[in-house]
Amino acid sequence: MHRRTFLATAAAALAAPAWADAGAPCYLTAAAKPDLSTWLVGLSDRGTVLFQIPVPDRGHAAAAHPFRAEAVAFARRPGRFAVVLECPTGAEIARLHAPEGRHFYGHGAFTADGRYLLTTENDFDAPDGRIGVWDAQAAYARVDDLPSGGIGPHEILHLPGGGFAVANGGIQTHPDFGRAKLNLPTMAPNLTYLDEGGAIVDQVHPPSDMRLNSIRHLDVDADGRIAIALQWQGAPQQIVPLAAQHVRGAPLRYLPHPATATLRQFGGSVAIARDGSVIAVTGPKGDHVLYFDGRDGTPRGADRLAEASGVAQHGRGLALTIQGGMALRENGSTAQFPVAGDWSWDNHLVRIV
Amino acid sequence: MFRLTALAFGAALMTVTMAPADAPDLPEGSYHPETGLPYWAPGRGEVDHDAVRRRALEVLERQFGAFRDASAALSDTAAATCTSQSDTEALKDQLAATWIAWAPLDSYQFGPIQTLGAALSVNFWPDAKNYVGRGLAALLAEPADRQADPAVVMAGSAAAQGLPALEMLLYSDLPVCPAAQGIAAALAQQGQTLYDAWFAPDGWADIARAAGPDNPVYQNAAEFTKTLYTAVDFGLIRVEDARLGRPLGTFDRPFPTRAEAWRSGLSADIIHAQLSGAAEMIERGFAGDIREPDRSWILQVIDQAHARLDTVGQPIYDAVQDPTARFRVEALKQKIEYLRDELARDIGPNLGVDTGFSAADGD
Repeated sequence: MHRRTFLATAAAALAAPAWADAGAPCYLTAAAKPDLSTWLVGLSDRGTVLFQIPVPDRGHAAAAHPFRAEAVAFARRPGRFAVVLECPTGAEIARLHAPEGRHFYGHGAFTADGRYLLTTENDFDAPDGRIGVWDAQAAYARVDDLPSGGIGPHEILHLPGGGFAVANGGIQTHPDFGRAKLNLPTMAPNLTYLDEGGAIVDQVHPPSDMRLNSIRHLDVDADGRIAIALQWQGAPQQIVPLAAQHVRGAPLRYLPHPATATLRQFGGSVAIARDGSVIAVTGPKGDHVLYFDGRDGTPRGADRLAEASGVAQHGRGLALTIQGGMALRENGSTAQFPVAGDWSWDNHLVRIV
Repeated sequence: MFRLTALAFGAALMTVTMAPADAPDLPEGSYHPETGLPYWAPGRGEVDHDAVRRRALEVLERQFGAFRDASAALSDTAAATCTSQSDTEALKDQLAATWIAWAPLDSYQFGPIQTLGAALSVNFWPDAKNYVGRGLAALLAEPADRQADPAVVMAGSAAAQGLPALEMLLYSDLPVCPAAQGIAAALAQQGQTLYDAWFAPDGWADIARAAGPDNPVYQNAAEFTKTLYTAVDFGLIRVEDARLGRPLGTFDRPFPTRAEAWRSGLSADIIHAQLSGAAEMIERGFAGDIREPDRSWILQVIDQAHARLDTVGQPIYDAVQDPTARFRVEALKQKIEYLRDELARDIGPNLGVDTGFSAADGD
């Protein structure tokens, strides 16, 4: 590489539509209607649907371009496509196809200059976790392919100080086995840090008693502190923390919570407020959300919210997608409001920068 | 539909009213061994998920028990073969019996099979990178006494712990003994461990029986029904996409060595066994909690699939390369696709199983 060809280049001033043209949407989410048609939906922070764009199959997360009104909607694993959409119009700008022998995990992130998109991928016959690199200035041509540092890379996140964090969930899957987990006796998740050029610069591994706690979803505050949502693959009767924090150079810090059991071993999504004041881990299987103090990690209550799924930064608080609508968590209280359109949300809510 | 159902139940009702007279001491919830219908009417068309669970666990216990027993016999046969230096015919026969006993379990990729990683350690397939061959090479590089030790096998590559590894030993130029003894003993251990993980106290069956608001896996018995329904459908996907679609490739470019168990030619027998396992869960597990004629119709379509498989008349490895037989494999694949559509249309809604889009599906 060419491995360094996509080192941060000067951000080009581009004549593409900016996010304001899309009605300044605050959030993106994948969704479905009762007829099972699948969509990418732009939502305001008050639950107004700003745009809705049909996508060919069930979506998972989306990556928003840092300044152009483009979003990349990823198929849910083991999906093999991603669609780049221009958000004011819904026009398809490009379509990404996973190479032979690969599928996407449903997450991606742009470099700070918006030039390159990084996607988490499964090289399923190897098996190996990979990061695909696509050039947003060349119609999203695939330009590189890098190691993710583990099996099952799921969420990838751009960090405020540059570089990326990758949640290598540790779980081996293969499209021939649908969504079945194939390697639990040997699974080994980790959190991997990449530099802006995609090279691995640091890795942190869980202690042995947390080996079966899959590191899957991430968020980061303005100071670069990472919040993690976990999915426990061990004995289902065993109650273990489903949230963790990490700061570069320190070990992983697991966050117990008295309401952990309500999540049914499944942390679906995570967000930390931009100022680091609060962390939320959603439990779409358990219809609950857990809150933690973002600084010291202590439990700060929980809400029972049906199908609590996506969560994202919202000012000094957090916005969530829930059954039939949205919720805002601010100053220790939660307000709910409906969203018209009979939507079912997928697990994630993506904040537009 | 109500009227139609009542009509279709006509014949069954005879059985229902007559059977208890034949066997007055039958426990409540038992079902007629031929029709699979409960002796007591399911009542008002509501699905009794507790009854589904009770019957389904019996089916699972029988199927997991069959694999445990077959793999134990495989270990005994391998030990006898290697000790007496006899020919490998008996071992080949018992490998076939064990693979056929595994086939129905391939559908149940949840609970103990996932926890124990058994999908790969029992049946490492597909194997695009020859991990089975590489794992065997590593095992065969060990001293003889270690090759025969199941603990050594289980500590090595998952690809060299299961049925395809034993098959490669038996159907290639590699030395069969003593590695076959170690692999077969490892399979017997896995058969016992899987059975226990399901049915020993505090096993997965107990988790299913304890379904309720505080259960970390199943919040109610209906969720276990949904898991079973999904598993039956998954087994059909495995037949359609992996067992048939993978070797079929395209007309110009079939992939015969992508067929499961192509060396031993067991591919078709495995498909028969997986279809029969699905039929057993529908007939004896879901049983009368699926309305007639939906249940008998699905079983009839499964019989049609068996018949189409019989018309192929040769191993899948050969059939996909033969223009005429290939056409029959494609016809079978279409039948499985049709079967899945019928299952989704009739059986899923019948069981009250919602397989729609939900954030709670997880990822």
